[in-house]
Amino acid sequence: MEEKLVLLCDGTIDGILTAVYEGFVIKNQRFGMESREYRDNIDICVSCNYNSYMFAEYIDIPKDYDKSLKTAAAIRKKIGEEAYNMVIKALCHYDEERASLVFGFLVRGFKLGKGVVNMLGDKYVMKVMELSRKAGNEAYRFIEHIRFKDMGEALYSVIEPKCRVIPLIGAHFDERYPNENWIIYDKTNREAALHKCFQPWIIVSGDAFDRSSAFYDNISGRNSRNLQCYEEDNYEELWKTFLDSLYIKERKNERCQNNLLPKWYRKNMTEFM
Amino acid sequence: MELNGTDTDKSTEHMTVDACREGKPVSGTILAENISMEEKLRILSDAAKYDVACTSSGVDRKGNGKTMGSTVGCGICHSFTPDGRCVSLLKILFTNECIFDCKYCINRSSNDVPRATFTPDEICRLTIEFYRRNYIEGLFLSSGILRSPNYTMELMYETIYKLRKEWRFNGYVHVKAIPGADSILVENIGYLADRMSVNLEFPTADGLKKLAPHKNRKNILTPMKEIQTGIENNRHMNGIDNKYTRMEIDDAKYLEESRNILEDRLGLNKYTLNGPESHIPHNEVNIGKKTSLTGGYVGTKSRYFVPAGQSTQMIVGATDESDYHIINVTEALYDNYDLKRVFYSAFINVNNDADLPSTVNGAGLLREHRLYQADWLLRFYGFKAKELLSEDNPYFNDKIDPKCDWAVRHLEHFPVEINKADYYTLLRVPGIGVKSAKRIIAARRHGSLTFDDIKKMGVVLKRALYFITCKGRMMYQTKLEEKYITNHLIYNEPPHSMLAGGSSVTYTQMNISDFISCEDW
Repeated sequence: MEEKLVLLCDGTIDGILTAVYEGFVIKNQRFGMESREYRDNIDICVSCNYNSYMFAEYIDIPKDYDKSLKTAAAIRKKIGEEAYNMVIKALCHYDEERASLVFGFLVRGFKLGKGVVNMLGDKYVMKVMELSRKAGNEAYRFIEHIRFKDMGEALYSVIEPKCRVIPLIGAHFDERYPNENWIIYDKTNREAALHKCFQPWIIVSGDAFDRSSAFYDNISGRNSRNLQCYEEDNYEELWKTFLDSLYIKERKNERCQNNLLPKWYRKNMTEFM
Repeated sequence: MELNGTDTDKSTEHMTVDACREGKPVSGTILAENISMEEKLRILSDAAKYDVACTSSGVDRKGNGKTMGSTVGCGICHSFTPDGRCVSLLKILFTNECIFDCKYCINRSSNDVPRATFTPDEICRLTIEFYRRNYIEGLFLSSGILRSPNYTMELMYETIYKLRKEWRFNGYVHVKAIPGADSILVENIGYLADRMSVNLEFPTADGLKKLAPHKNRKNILTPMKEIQTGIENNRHMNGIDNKYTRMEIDDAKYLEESRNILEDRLGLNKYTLNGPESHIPHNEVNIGKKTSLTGGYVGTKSRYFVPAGQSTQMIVGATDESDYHIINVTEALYDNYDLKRVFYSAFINVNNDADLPSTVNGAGLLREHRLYQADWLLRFYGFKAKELLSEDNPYFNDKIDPKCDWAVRHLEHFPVEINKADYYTLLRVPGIGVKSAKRIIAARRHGSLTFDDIKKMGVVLKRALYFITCKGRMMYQTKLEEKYITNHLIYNEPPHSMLAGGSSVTYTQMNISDFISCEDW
């Protein structure tokens, strides 16, 4: 009977990277630096549901920013930026097994170096690649389809993605709108990106978010079509006019439109409200 | 429609550029002044919608930290209209008034349609406000021909100049060059725009003569050549010798460039005030410190000329060219003019003109689709036009795509061994695209691949399985026979043994997002 270890952590990127750090410490202690005996015996679990292994050993890992930063630095240095990007994107995915898969990927990565990202024949590498591709593609869709509302003091946007896209898209808007105040509020994952004119952008999540959540819910309330408690934005009407006249009626093809812009993305888009 | 500037004297005509800078209305039509912004936008975007290109790709420009805007190399589609077309740019005409009378065009002078004209400031404000709400990537500006090609082009230059320099817009700008406009205007716009295009309109000069009596082939090809030369020289000056490398624009250079453009602007003002005749060497104009030959585009270092390259479009189905003819023209355009893209537009008889073929809903769309597929094969897959079609077989198969069609007619090249074949051979297999071919090459260094592996890498086995082997074996027992494979490809029938072999195999339909989705951003 093989030994099975399950590390428990919260689902944040820092929490998982801390668990990865501890995972390697434990792996080296129990299986030796060479780790020839290691057969992916360590899992990292992000949810409370840890009934998957009856006889496994469970260890709680508290979040530790130092350890998380060390892990990140080690990945970048020893496996390269490409692998680091892959890992971060994969960790933004909602898959429950993401942490275990990333751990398996990193075990191979630290052994083999940069080349690991191309080893798509390997189960862990393939899965991490798939997760990172999915999260990355979804984030790109939100870069495309986020709609800001001009509410006077700032531009506001509400999104309901499946993956955590804010860490992946914030930099894009930071670069694009340096001279604007803007807020992107992720309703699904309960976090927000804030940007003040000419300042670096920040992510508000966890406790800090919960303390101010009433504020964001208020925005999303004001954002919905039912509650129009602020002045109607003229450019929203112009945008709808523009799209309407751009559409060539002779070439109507809604199936194609649905293919290219699946309906769940349209939830918070100005032109479909 | 009559313009308020009744003076047709050349020098006054050129001064209008300054007039509109001072906020005077450009268009003199009473209608244009009275209609609302919404109505104007409706008229001028409706009139622009038959222009096909709406891409925002080809140049990476990071934000400068001060003003609004950045561009992304692979482009961004912000929305899709119910006809399934992507909306990336604010695609509008400066004016839909036109002195030309092209038979196929909704804006032809003989049509009785509502006319409107924007002012440069209106366009700038609209672009900026749409941009900050993340509706668009930038501006696509085209125009009907108001008074003369030069006059129109100057107004467009004025608009782009204001957008860049006064409104400090750093996003994507695509400008249509008006055939017949002076090369100095084309050059100056080129330094402000990301992409330029000149519409070829029809694949042949005959078609153009028949349907666009005021245009001629030479006037279209001249600016195309000028832009090409400009791009080439400029890339060399910026140290890029390979024509496929994307321009990455860096900040310090861009600021430097802005100063140069300001100097040019003064030069151009002088030029427009005195009129082109006052210039003794016809093709030479003093730009800043250096003398540059327009048309030759010597230019200066650290300036970017049309960094995203140029494109063109042609209307398909209004004249009687075959597909073979069209893709040969396309190939020549890519080879001789270094175009980034050629766009095709299935003809719609908007004017119900009796001289033109009538069109019913959706006619020609499949043909357009096949041409785009072939276009991809020319640009990314190393195919030549002559391989795809011939004089005897001048049209694409409407049942199967051009790549499958080629493959079933060249079975002598197949089957291909996934673990051995080189990149270019893999690219020729139906169901394997650029991305999956690259993934296969990278992954097989670490061990040999199975059908299951390559399926995960994005290979569409539904099409590929007839043409490949993994470790020397085919996926199922199939016949290497043209009729057999064609039938299976058309009716999407699994080979007989497939059902027994593995009923769990699932396939995904390839669609356009496979080509445009951008995973490595």
